[in-house]
Amino acid sequence: MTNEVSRREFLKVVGTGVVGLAAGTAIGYNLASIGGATAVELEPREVGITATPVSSRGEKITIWVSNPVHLKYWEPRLEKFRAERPDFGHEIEALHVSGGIYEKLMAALLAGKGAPDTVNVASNWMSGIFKGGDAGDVLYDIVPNLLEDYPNYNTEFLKWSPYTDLDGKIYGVELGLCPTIYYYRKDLHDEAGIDPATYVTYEDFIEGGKAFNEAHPGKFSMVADVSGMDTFGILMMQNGGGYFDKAGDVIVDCDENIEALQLLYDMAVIDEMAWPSPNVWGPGMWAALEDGTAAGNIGADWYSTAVLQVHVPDQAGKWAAAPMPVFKPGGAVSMQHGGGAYCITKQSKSPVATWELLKYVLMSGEGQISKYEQAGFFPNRLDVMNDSRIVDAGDPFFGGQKIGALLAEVAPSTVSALAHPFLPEAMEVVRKVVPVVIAGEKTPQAALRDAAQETKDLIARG
Amino acid sequence: MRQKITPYIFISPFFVLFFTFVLGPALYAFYAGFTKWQGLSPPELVGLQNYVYLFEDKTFLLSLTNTIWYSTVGIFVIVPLALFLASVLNIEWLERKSFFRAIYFAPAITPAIVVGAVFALVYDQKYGVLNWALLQAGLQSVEWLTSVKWFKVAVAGMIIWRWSGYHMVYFLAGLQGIPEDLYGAAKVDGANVWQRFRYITVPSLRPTIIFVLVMMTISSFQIFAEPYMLLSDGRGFGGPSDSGLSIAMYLYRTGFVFMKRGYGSAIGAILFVIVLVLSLMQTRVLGVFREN
Repeated sequence: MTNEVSRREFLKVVGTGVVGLAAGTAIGYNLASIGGATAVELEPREVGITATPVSSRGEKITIWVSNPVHLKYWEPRLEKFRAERPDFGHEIEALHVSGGIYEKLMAALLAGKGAPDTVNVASNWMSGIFKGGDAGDVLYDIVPNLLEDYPNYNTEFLKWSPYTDLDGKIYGVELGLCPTIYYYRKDLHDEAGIDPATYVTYEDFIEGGKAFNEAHPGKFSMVADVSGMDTFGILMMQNGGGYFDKAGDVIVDCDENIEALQLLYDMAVIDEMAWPSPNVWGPGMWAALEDGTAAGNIGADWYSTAVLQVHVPDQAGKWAAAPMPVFKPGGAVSMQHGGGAYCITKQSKSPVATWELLKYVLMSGEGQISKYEQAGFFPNRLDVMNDSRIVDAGDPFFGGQKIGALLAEVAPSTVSALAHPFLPEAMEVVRKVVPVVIAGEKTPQAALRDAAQETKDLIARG
Repeated sequence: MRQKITPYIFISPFFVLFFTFVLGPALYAFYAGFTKWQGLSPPELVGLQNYVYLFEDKTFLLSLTNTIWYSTVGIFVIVPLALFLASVLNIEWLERKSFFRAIYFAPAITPAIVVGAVFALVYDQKYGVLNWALLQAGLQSVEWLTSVKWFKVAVAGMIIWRWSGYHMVYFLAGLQGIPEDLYGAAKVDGANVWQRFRYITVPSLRPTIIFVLVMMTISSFQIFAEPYMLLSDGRGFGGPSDSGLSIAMYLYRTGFVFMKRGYGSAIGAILFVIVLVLSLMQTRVLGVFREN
């Protein structure tokens, strides 16, 4: 074999290689996406995980979590599980996947390999999985298993909507209910002679907020997210609005949303009782909590453990919580905000064992209580949420207030968001509306009407 | 002419990696731009549909306008500022030059997430040092992060702070290559500071200026991290009503949030064409590769 080659030959070889590689890459990507779909089409989705004909004993079970806070309940429960089930036959690994877990998951699902057995999927990611295809191609529908293992599932558990497609298939074991309540600085409200626990409607809330402003100039009993969806998103869902109805139709400009956006405008601009924050997740917000400018806010169960106790730990004992006010007497006092669910991927070689594990950690009574005690995620199982370890536990950060009892009180009326393949588009369109309305450039009605049309146009284009 | 194969084997790792991880995916992205490829479904050829829709897409046109604005700031503010800083930090009698050069370069190596968090506080309406300074000067505070009008300006300020020092280094290298004799001769001829800068420094730096202008154009058209991180968790990325949305951010949003990979690939292809055309125009107008 000669070790010499002419420049022309070299360029020819390289050129062929480039074209071959490019074509190979293209074909490879194409096959990867088709291959994943073809492989999973063989699975009989309708009969659930238990029908999987895979003998998986000895396979490692991998769990991906998006935030280290989730390891707080996984690690102690796994320790117990290993002790109680020495015959389980699987090594288990819970991993915090930092940075781009969603992109990594989607790439693995597209490629047909590389996905974990189960992964903590945030509710807003589901739309990406629902879009353009059948989520059942890549994730297990757990309805048959839920109904088999929990025959009274429909009356024992609350809300799984973000992980339910329009056909009623459920693709995730939810990690908690994430109900919202109103958190407030009790010391400052006491000084002003105001008791937020007595609020019933938002009219009371606004009047109380104005009285608070008078007693504490420069401090506010509520935060209004004026550049995003944190406040408006909660209000519109609480009021029975949202982005889509159960049939999947756009309801962005429904009366409930208009009323909710008008309320946000009134609180931030007309009555000036809510502190207008451009970034409720940024350093300005933490400074406002620190100096009392933000002396109250609406947040989910995790708002206490992930925000207040992290950013103002020295204010322990000064905070309290109350149910959210309602739009109308008898209306919902809470909405599901954030959270996530553990989906079992069809790439799992041990889906049955993974399901067993998820039941133990997330759905069993002890698992739900441990999850609340370790990480603050409130149970979604009705017979557990009133357990004495939850409702009778005083929280030192809240001066010994029984926050679990408050969450149990509001939980049954918690409104849940609905999934839709075009939810991200709808959310982006509606998010743009908030600053426009706050700036007084459009009325809530006009802004939401335009947003509804834009959302419909985006969906029509596909 | 025969050549030994060994050198080609030695240089092949670069080409293998380049073709596999850059050219291959790039070519595939061009192909994907002609497909409807959503979520986890396989791509489906749709011809020019994505490209036709691009020019009707108001958000894309807004992101294009915003990106042109960032690019304009880059070319007309950052490049002159970098040249000015380099000229000052190249003055012979200036003491602690290395220290100042390091300080000006530091923002370029500071992670975007840190820069975003710090600038979010700098621009905060209530707690920000910038508004504090404005109030001290008897002016009104500005809603940097919530105003559609001011958000882009806030992003521009962040870009200027972050990248002026980086481009300053190129100019410093160029300045240090200019023979001192030229300045000496000019001084003897009676040339003042401006005349020495105009007739010696600028012509001598011409290749560096062209290089910096091209790099600035390319990087400013790809801007992503700064506006994304300014609202520090990326939650409301794009700024109020998308007033700071860049093309790269819209590409990410389309491809990874909306999960429309085909359309996102079409945006990427258009971005590539824009950058290519602008770079070619710059090299042509400024005379790169011209013999004399």
